[in-house]
Amino acid sequence: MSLSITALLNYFNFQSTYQSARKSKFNVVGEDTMRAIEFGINLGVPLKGLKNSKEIFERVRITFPEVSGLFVIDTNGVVFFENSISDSLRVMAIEWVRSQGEPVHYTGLKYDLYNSLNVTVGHLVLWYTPKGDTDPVQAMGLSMILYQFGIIVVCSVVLFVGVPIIFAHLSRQLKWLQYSLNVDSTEEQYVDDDVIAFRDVTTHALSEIEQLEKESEEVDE
Amino acid sequence: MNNIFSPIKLTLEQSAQLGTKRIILFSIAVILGASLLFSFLAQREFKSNLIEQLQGNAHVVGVSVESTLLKNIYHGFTLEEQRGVKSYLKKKLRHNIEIAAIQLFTVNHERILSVSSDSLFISNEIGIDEKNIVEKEIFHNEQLQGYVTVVISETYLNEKIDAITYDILTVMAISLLLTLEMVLFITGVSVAAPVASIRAIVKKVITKDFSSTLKSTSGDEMGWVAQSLNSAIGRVVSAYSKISRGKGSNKKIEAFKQKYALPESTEPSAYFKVLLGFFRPTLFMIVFAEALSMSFFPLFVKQFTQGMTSIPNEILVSLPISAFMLFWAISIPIAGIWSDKSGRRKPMATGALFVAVGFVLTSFASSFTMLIASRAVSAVGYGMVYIAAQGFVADNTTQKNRTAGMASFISCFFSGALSGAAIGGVLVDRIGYRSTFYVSTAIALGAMFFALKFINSPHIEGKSVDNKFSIKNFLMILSNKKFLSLLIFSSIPAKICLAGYMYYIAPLFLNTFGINSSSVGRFLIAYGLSMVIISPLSGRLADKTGNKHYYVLFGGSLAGVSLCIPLFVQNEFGVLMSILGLGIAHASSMSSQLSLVLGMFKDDEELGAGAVIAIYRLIERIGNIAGPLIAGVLIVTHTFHETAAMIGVGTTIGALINGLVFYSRKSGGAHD
Repeated sequence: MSLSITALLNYFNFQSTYQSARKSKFNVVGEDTMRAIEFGINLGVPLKGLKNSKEIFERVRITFPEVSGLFVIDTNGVVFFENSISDSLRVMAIEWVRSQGEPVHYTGLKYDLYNSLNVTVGHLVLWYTPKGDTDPVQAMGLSMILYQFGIIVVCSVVLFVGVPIIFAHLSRQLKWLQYSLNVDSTEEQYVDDDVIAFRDVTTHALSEIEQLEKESEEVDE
Repeated sequence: MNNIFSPIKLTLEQSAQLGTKRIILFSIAVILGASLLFSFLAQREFKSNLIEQLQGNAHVVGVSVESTLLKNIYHGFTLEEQRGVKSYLKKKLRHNIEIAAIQLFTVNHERILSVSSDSLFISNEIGIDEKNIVEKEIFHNEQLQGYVTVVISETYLNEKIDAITYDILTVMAISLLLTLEMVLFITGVSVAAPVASIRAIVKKVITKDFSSTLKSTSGDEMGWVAQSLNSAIGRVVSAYSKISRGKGSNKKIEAFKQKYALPESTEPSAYFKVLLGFFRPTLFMIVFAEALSMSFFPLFVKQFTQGMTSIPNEILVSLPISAFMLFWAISIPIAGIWSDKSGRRKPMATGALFVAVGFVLTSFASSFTMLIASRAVSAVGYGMVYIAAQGFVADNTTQKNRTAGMASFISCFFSGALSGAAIGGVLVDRIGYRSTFYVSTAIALGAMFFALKFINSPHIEGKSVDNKFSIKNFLMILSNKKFLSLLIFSSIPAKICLAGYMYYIAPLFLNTFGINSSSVGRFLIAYGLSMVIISPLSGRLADKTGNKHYYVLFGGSLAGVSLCIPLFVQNEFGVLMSILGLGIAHASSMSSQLSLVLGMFKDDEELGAGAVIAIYRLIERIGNIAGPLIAGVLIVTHTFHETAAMIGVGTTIGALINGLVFYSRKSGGAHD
């Protein structure tokens, strides 16, 4: 159980560290993309007219294939520019922009786009895949299971060998006791005085009964 | 030291004891070894996987820096000529805590610029592991312009590894507690109790009593011995029953019957000795089940208080917890008297059932009122188990070993609370609130099974103890000066220290040093661990020396002194020392307090142990309530460390007054 809890803790710790590291990684990409778009806005180009956004998005997605979607959305939730692998990301991006409570997305980043007067004119939403080509979280989980299994096997062997050795003396004493308690046994390995007394009392009681039995038979005859 | 292979002259009991001690040490060694090996492997895996991820991050930062620098190169500025790069890189570092440094190099690897935020990197720049460095070449028009080097933060890595290490250490401590509980119980049931039962039956036969056989169904050596023992007794019993039916001399048979104690029927009654430790699984599991929700319960309650604006949220959240405390306190005297009358098994099993039902109701609670009601149900059950377990200890100990018995109760209680709280936090993150309550329900039902199977007080079951929770009894107990002194000057201050300092001041105090909630929990574990480890040792020592009031005096004084430590050591270490000191103090005195209380009324047949403990525990609770109030009032006008010291001084004075009362020959009550 100890190993399982440690394994679980390690796995979940790694999962959350991995998620935050991944967020931090795509935050660098997102901030660069945001700056590139804001450069155009600061030149006085309206959000709708930022034609180079398409080009920027394409370049970003080629350089970072794990970026699954990029959207420029105005404050009303209208999408002006996008480059994504699926329509569902578009819907999610619009919902995110429109939502009041700022829900946390584990695989998304949202940036406010400001004009030169520091007024929010729209938003940039970046989606990324939860994992790269390989899934280190899964690999970590598998390693934890394998290590756990290996150690449990070793511990079982150690316990299997160790416990009988620890109780060897008690076990031997109990065997002696088993023979000694048998009143017909001729074993001489008494464990202690109480057992000798037990045998004496039992043997005596049995012989008394035997005597009574004999007398009873004699009466019958 | 005895060698287990040598034919040493040990009694069965000594062999069993030696085996138990060795199996405990062996289990601890195996658990520690396995945990250490696993944590080493897990940490290594964690670090290598994380470095791989951070290399990806460093690469992206490198690409980002490169693209910015290339824009300037495009406008005709070489790497060396570019301005404002330092502040740009500093900003980059601020946004990426996993990066220790960003450096720019010329084509000839001469450093142009190095920006770092990591003290470890600055102090050990040359010794950086190559794995932590990602280098990116800067090309313009297919011509190399220089290099940008991004260094992964060793501090960030260490912080992540440290967080896991603390978790692993916590789990290791909890595992050891669980292992200890399990090994103690298993060896108790399968070794100590059968050996004690064998001895008891053998002794009975020596006194010519053939009325009982050994109850054993195991197929091991113990089972074989039981078979031999039972067969010897069975032979006598069946031979006697044969002649008693025959025509022999009735006088002689009657004389035989007078000489030997024989069963009324042909079947002797089965006997199995109840050991003191048999209460532990039930108590441990109930406390464990309850503690599972300790870490998240306020958050769970908040779900029910949203939208209730008439009362401040903080007060609303505390209501179910207060209801639990209130019903726990109310149930204690009632359950105490019931357990004196009915034996310990019924209240313990019923209590466990109440706790289980309470958890089911909590998990299905759809309103705030239902939540409070469900907690009240659990609290009543908790009180039943709590008081019946103490009664069980009182039943199965004498004045000579009662302190050790009570210490066993205290260590088991804290062991369950510590383990439950630590595992509950992990569990709820993964399976959610409701499922965690289901786990608690299952554990409480398990506790009920243990109570039904192993709790038995033959000398109590069926015995009519006519003790009512009357005003007369209440006043009689309170009229004992030593009892009153112990309560007012020792027990209540101990609870004030616990509730006022440890649960109220210490977390707030630690917070001022920038320690977050999860780390505060780790500080508080020091108290529980002291209770678990030191309490049984001090209990045994107190029984051996017999001067239990010394332990009460020492514990009270040490608790007071411990609370003064933060006055002189004004940092987190000072708080830790004070918590540890308080743990040692309470571990030294709490079991002696209870043992002294029971000793004061041992000759009073009108009062059962359960009733005395119940009244004592009920009044003691004043300290739990007063502690946070006193601390809260003092904090308004004083600093944290001053408040702690004031409570500490009060506790020490109380301990000294109580010491004087116990030394005074004029005061009434029995001596320990």
